[in-house]
Amino acid sequence: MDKIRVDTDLLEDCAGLIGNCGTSASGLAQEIAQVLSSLPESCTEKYSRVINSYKREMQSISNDLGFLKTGINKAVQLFEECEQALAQGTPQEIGKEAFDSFISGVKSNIDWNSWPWSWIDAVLDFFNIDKYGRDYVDPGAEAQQARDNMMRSQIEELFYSSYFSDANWDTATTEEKKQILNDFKKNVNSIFGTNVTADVQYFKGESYENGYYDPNTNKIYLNENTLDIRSREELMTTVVHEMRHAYQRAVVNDPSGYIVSEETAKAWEQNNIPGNYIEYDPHDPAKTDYNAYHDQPIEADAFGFSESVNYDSHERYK
Amino acid sequence: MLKTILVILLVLYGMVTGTAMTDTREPQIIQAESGDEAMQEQLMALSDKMTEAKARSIAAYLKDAGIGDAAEFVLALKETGYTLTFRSGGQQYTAILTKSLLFRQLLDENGKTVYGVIM
Repeated sequence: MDKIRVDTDLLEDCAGLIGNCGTSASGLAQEIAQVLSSLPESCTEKYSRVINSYKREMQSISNDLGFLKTGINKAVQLFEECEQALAQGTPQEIGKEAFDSFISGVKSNIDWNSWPWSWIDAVLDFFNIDKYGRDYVDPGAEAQQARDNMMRSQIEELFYSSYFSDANWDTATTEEKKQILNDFKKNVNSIFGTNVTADVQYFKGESYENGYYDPNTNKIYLNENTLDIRSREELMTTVVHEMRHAYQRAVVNDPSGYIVSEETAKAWEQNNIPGNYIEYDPHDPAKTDYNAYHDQPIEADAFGFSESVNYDSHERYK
Repeated sequence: MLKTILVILLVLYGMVTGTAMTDTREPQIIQAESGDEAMQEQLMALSDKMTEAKARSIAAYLKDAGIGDAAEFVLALKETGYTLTFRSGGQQYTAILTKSLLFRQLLDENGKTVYGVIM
C-alpha cells in the first residue's frame, strides 16, 4: 500500500502564507466598500451593482482564505488519524466505507510531482470545505444568464479579427490551424477566468470524437484526425465546449469565485461525481443512449453555450 | 368589428393547428447522386447558410456513419435547429443539425440514435 507522508511544518508555513493573503484580500474588500459608500446617489444602479459584485468577490476570497488555513489544519489532523488507523489496520472514528473512499479519492487526485499543493487541493476537495458556507451568496439564475451573455459577446468579439476568420483558416496549414486554435483557446481561457494554461493537446480518435477536457491534467484535447475535415466553426465550437467543461470544474471547485447559480453549480458537481457521468459510445451496447449523454447537466450546458456563439461575427465588419 | 372577429379567428386557427410563427422555412427537397462529392454539392444547395466546409463536414460524418448512397435530402427548419432526412440502404434516416448547420446526431426511422458527436 502506498504511504503518504505529510510535512506538517511545511503545511503550517503554507497556512501562514495563505492567512496573510486572506488579510490582504480583506483589506481590499474594505477599500472597495469605502469606494462604494462614497459614491453619489446619482450613480446608476448598474455601476453600483458592478462594484458590489467586486466587493463580494474580495470578501469571498478573504473568507475562503481564512477558512483555508483552518481547513488545512483540520485536513492534516484528519489525515494523521487516517494514517494511524491505516497502521493499525482498523479505521477509527470514521466508517470503513468513508475511510476507503477518502484514501482512494485523495490518491487519485495527487500529482506526486507537485506535492504538497495537489495533496492540499485533493484533501480540501474531498472535505468540500465551506464552499457554500455562511459567506456564500447565491448570484441566482438571472445573474448567471447575464454573465454567460457577456462571455458569449466577448468570444464573438474575437471574430472581429481576421486572424480567426474562414479566409485565414482556409489557407492555413495543419500546423497553422493548431496555432490558431491554441490562440483561440488562450482567449477563451481568459474570458472564462479559468486556468487552462497548457497548449491544446491532440489525440487520434474516431470521427465522432471531437474532443474532451481532462480535469486531472486540466488540459483540453482535440481529435487530430478531424483537423482537416471539420470546418473552422466546428473546431472552434469544440474548443469552447471543452473550455466550458474547464469552467464548470472551476465553478464546482470555487463557486463563490464565479457568477453561477447555486442550483447549477451543485448540479454540475453532482454530475461530476464518478459514476454519475453518462458516456456515449456507438460501439458499446451499454452506452448507446445519446440523449442521456447529451442532456446531462454538464453536457447540456457545454453544448448549449458553445452552440449559441456566433462564430461568424466578423462577417458583419467586413 | 368584423376585422376584430377575423383577427380572433385567425389567432384561434393558429392555436388549434399549432401553426407557429417561428416555423418560417418550408422543407427543401433536393436530389443527390450517390458518392461523397455529390452529397457535398447537394448539401451546399440546400441552404444559403451552408458553406462548403460545413457541407464537407456533414458528408464526412454521414460517410463514417455508413451513409453513402442517399438519393434525396429534405432539409427542414425546426425550432431547435435543422433536420436533414433522407433514405439510404432502404432505410430512412434523420440527421439533427444545429442552428448553424453543424452535424450532431443521426437517427434511424425509429428515432434511435445510430451515431452522435461527442465532445
